[in-house]
Amino acid sequence: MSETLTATGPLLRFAARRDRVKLSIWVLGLAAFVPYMMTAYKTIFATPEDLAPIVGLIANPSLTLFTGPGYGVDVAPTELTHQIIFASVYWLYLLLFTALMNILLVSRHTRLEEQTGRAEIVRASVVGRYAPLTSTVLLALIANVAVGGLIAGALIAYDSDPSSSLLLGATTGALGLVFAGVTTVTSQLSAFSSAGSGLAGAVLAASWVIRGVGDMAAGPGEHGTWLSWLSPLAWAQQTRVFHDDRWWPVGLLLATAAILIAVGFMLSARRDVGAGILQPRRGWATAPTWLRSPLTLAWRLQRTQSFWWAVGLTLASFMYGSFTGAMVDAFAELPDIFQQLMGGAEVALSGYLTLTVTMFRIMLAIFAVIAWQKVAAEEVGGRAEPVLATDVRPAAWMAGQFLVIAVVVAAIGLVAAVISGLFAGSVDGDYGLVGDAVAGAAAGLPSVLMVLALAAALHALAPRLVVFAWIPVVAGALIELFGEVMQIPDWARQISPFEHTPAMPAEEFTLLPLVVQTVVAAALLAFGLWRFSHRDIPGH
Amino acid sequence: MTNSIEIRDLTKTFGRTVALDRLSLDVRQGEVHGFLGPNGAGKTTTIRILLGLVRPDSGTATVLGGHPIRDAVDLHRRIAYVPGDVELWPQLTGGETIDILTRLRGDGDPTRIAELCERFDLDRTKKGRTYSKGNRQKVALVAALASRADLYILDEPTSGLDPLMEAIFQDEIRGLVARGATVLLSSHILGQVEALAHTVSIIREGSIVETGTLASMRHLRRTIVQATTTNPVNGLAHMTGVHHAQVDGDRVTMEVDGEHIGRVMLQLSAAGLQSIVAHPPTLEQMLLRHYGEATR
Repeated sequence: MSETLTATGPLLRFAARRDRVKLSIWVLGLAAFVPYMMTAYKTIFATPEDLAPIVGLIANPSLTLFTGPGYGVDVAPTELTHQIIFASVYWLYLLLFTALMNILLVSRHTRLEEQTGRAEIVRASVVGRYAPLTSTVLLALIANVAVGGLIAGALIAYDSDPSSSLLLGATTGALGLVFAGVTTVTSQLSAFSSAGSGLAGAVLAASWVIRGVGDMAAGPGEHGTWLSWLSPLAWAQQTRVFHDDRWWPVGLLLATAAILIAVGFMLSARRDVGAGILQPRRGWATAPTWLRSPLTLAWRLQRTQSFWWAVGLTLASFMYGSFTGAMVDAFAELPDIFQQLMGGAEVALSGYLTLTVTMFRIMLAIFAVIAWQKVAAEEVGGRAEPVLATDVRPAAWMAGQFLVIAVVVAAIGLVAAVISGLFAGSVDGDYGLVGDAVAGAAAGLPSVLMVLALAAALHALAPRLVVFAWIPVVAGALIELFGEVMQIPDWARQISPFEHTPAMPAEEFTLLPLVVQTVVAAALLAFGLWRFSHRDIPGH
Repeated sequence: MTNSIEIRDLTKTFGRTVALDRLSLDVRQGEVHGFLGPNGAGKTTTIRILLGLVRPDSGTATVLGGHPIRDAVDLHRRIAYVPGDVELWPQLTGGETIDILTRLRGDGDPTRIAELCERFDLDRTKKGRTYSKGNRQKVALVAALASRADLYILDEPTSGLDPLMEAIFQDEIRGLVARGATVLLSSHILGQVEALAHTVSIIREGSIVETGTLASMRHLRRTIVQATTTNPVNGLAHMTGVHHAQVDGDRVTMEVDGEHIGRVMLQLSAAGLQSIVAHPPTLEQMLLRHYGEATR
């Protein structure tokens, strides 16, 4: 038995060596969330009076969709602490990103190594059967302990209750391990790392939605429902940390992680190295007749990913849409600060619709960057080379990629807007809101194209720079969703590509920002096309 | 003499694809065994089963007296491997990769590694992502050759190397054999196999169709004979063991089965043999015979 673990130690050190930069950034970035938020609270909620508006915000049942079951927020305002706000509102996002870190970590060190064939040369050496997977799980364990420890330490440094701080840190780490376990299992199923991490990502998304819906269904004064308990994210929040600490949900998380990891090990023993549990499907022997240009090739390569994004966002628009009525009912009781976010109390319906449209705008920008990373991978993987070696001009190749992604973004945005608009219309029978939602989505298109053009321009400089296109997207998402609450200054908001987009239908249509955004997008794309035509295509 | 590798009736399917169909193969200790076959014939699957990376559906494989999966760790201490398609970690240098791979085995000898890098003209300080196919292969080759293994499993190890490197590779392989190591050499480079291999096995559609020493295989094959005679040779076409005989005045061309060559020579002498060119079938011709059947 022990032989199956031979070389686990060296492989762990090797994995840590390869991952030292990326993983350090993840761990420190997650831990930095705590000092950042706690410092922000000290400025924003300096006095107990400042805390009053946010109490109403958090206690609102509709908002639990974006926060959590809200333990401790119903205490007297004088007893409300920054820690309670952190645990009941913003912690969820920390949990989300910790789960993401684990999904990417496990996928990167298991399936990606096998897919590239690098695992083969390792496994052919003096390495036990379970050693690569064990070293990966240990690396995930170390990363999660580091994240949890740093978070707990940072909270204690901000004068938080040490025991509760430890609980929050431990829970975060334990949730991370659950998703390390989920990915350990999903990575065994398909021979391709993108399928394994995609499936784990779907589990995370489902956990997110189930937790949100379950918590929102709870009545006033209640915290979560049975539905919430189907989501590991809810277990983390059910520790009632900083309010009524209980440790047993951590045990539940750890037990689940242990079971998932054990299943992953069992599945890994049942398959060949490099193969998946599921057999790859066969395809057509010949290409369809339409597949004959860089444009159609780009579509063929983006098709599957686009389809799943369309499915995901359609489901999401049904989910957000179905809450329209409940949201509007709850809107009147919301504090000013949140009403500002949605454009004011008198336009509750269009306000919620605007928020929905904004959410989809952000998601489509995320899709745009992910889709362009796939384009960059075409060049890095050497697959662009044979295409560019034909009479396809580099500019035509890049323009084709841009056009395909832009059309997909527009199409998914249209579908999501129509669905959201139909739900909004059904509240008062005012189906003119469908047109409003479509107009709002259309107004957001230039901002998303700006992000896409930035990705193309970065790619034209060098494929590995595409990752920097995430900066405006992530910053834009934080600013759009939390800008009001966090009181981010106007100058800092300029980094958000969505900042000048008219928040329709709540706001009036204004042409100028859209013209400027379109010009910026066109300039970035033009630069990209020019630069890409004039630079070398490095060999694989 | 004992066998380093013994394979009996190995079968492996991937979905509906039959990769190996009751394949049997012996590789004797201390020999270079050439492993030939077209793409997709099952060479790499066989090798991956020997390394314990793939589980066969049925049949047995014994490597150095051990079980490929059960005894994987112990066996791998004694086996060095070069994959056909070498992928390296993009952020590690070639030198770092060689060191980690040899240290995992536990026998990294810095002087030997330096010597091999020198011989193969490999720049160890470049990052994995910047290497060409040939240089990636050199990294894996150096890591394998630097190990003092009993069995070397090489899957098309030099398909990306230039002829100069090929000569150095062959020299290194002879060095391994001189100290008693066994080599399983899967290759498409027939010259390499002819130069190195003591024994050759030809695999087609998942089974071994032919195995033996090159000499014995040639003996069973047809020799190509071109001769000029004073008088026309009669009755050649009807002789047993003569194929494709073409008589054009005083010149005759034919293929003769190995065991009948003596009688044919008598016949030619009787007709007043003036000049003769006879050459054994090349490995290529032998292979084409087997491969050709697949397409026929």
